[in-house]
Amino acid sequence: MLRLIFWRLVQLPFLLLVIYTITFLLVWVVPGDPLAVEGRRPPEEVVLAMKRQYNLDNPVRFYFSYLGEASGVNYLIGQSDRPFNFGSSMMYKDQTVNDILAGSMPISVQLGLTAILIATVIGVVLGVAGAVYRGGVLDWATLSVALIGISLPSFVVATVLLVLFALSWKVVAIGQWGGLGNLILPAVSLSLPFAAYIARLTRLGMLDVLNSDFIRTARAKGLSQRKVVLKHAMKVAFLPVLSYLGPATAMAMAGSFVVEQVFNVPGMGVHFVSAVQNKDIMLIIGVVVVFATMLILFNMLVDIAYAFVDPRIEVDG
Amino acid sequence: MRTKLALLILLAVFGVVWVFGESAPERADLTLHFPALETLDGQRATASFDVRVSYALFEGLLAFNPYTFEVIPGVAESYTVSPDNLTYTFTLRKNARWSNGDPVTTADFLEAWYQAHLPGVAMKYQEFFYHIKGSKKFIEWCNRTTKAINELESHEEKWQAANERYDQSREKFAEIVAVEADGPYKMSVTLERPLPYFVHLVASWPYFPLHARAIRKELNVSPDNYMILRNWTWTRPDTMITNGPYKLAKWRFKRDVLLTKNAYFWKADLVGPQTIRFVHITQNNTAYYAYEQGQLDICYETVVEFRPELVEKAREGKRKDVHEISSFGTYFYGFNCRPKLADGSPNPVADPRIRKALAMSVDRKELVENVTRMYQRPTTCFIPHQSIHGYENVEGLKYDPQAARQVLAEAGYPDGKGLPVIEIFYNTGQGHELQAQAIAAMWEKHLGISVSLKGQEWKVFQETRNSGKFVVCRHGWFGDYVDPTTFLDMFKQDSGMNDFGLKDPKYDALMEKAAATYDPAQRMAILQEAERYVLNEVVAILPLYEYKVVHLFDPEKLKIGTPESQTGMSFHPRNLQMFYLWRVKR
Repeated sequence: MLRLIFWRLVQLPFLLLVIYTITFLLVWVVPGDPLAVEGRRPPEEVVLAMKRQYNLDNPVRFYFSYLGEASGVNYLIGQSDRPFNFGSSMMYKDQTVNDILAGSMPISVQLGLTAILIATVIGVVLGVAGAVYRGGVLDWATLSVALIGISLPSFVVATVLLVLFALSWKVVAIGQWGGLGNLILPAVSLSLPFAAYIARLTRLGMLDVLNSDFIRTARAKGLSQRKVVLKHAMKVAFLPVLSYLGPATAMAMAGSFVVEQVFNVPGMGVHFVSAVQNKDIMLIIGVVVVFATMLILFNMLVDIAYAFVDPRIEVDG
Repeated sequence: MRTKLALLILLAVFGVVWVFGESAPERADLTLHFPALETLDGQRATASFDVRVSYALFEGLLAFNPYTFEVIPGVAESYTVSPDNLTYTFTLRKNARWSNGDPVTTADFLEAWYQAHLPGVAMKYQEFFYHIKGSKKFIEWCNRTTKAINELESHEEKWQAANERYDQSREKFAEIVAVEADGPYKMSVTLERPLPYFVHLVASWPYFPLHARAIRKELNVSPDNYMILRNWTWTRPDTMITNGPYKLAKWRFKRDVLLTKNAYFWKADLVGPQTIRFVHITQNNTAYYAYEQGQLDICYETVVEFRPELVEKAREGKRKDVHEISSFGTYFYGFNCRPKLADGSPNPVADPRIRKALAMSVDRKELVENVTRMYQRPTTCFIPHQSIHGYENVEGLKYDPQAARQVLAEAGYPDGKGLPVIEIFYNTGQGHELQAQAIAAMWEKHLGISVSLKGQEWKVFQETRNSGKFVVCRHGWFGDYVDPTTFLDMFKQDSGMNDFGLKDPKYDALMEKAAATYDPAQRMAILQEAERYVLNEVVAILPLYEYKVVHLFDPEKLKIGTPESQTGMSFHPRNLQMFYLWRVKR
């Protein structure tokens, strides 16, 4: 297991370098001048100088100097006073990318984790119920819920929840962030597609396992249905869900732009969209690299959890 | 065992996440939302919300009475004007203080105005300073030296030259620009030529002071491009010192801004709300729901899609909280006045008579009642009604289809026959399509011409409009200061905002004559003549209606201000709010 963690950590910087390079190429070829201002244009020498300030006049220099700053290499060789400096936002000059991320990432993490927790609980319960009472009303209900969860766009779910809970029943505050109460609605809206997928995974896995020999043996030995399902079958049926949880958690944390907009959650989702709209190069690279790091780390966590839940599974780097 | 352990770890993680997640903030005395905020640096503010916040944080030498838009004393308790109307001498009050207790002195204004001129600080409203003698010359000096430094060979040479320039620049500013301090409480400004509305500019946000000692530290020579740059991140509670009614307590980007009362403000006893929280809400509907739920004291400038229904309800008397206010801006259609279009083809509206016919065949009342359904004030003139003290509005071209047909016939197109297709360019969204369709239908019906619609995405549309690639384009303009020139300068040949390609020596001469006239009544009369000329004879634009903003608030809880009461929310078209004068009950 230690070897696994070690290898994954060694791979991390290389993966990030590739991601950085691709992102850099993409933002560089997109048309539009990030420093353009509406109205009067400053004289040419000023425009040139401002471009130089951000290395916008030279892609190669931009690529390497930004890489040095963001990776912490400049800090290590003493050329910069802090590591992991993602620069300043070009649109919002008062802000540094690090400040923007530090302000919004904890919120996205909190919301994402909660959403995944809800999704896992709902998904597993529905999935198990569906598999155990296969073909029955409960199974149909589970499948329908899963179908609705996957097909309903989140802005519909979010708006309906908002209107019901906030306007009609007035149980939660709108446009506020902070406190558990304000976390639940966005987390539920965010969790539904994940819950639906997990329910289907669980149901399929469970159906498979329930037909296998060791379950028959367990039943033959007189174990109760509850023990068979929850203790023996569950352990195996949960594995596909577990492997899905890694990317799902990262996805949920990246935030849904729509859910964030409807509930006014100050998370990371909004920056993904607005940074591209404003062609805010530094911010785009910053959010992409940080999100990629999260994605990689969560996949690693899942692999570790895999080995932990089922020691028979060999995981190598 | 393993499962239990895993569960425990999981629960622990969530426990940490939830405990460290913050709790909901305390309700401020005044809570309102904003859709976007670019900067808290008052000097660099351009968007209307940024400007409103900067008036809460800073105060200039002079200030505005938000109910009448007259200029009132600010940091300066009085000022005198020299007999030639060129030199203004301001006497600063001794009790004006910064939020850290320091007195506000002439040094603070000099430093702020000096920094405002630097090309690297690049504030958009720098042109507010161009009227001061030497202002443009100093900027030229900056640009010249920038160029000279760039032409040097090595980094060392450039770096040295840049630092030398930095050391000289303040002296140069003092030498070239006619702004002089006579001790800490007296300063004078000399203008290039007399400017009757100069005091309006002095009361505007680009002229705000900055705490000289603190902001000096934020100004550095950049080793990357050798320009003099301000450290933009100075707008944080611990480094931002303000002299207005409020100081910054918290700014969470794209989240909220919390202001608390500046106890050192010289009119501190007039400050109503002791704390103001601006909540960032981008979704119009979410803002509306938050207001409906009582989270916001006011839904300022609501732009929900169902705005017409809200206005309708207000007109039927069913909602007392919908307030409609005409604002300091005009919605209009611009004509391309160039002889040829950008692609070299002949311009179908090059003849002013055709433009006149088009202008006279639009029924504005129909437009605002049945298309926008917002009941904006229809207008035939460019400058909004009763928005500028001392300026009588002119009469533009009225709706008269019969006369329009006649004018078109005179231009050689009886019943519209032979006239090429007229293209209307507009940016998609916000109901512009519907209005373009309605206007196209009116032109087709009354003039018998054919019209085609060209909707474009905003950024593309801006490019189309700036480069004159249109025949007719949707347009809108809001005034920046309370003088007719904030609107009328647009049509001058050398104006950066002249999208119409208008090159009219007679108009330029009229504007020049107005600029050379100091007597307010005479000057206003000349400007009226200019507006009448550009609307009725040149027909560069087709004014449609005055922009309207809709605020939602309970008048029982939030007081509406009047020129008599001098407190409460201002309904003046300029729509600049002094939040400290607001009075909120809850």
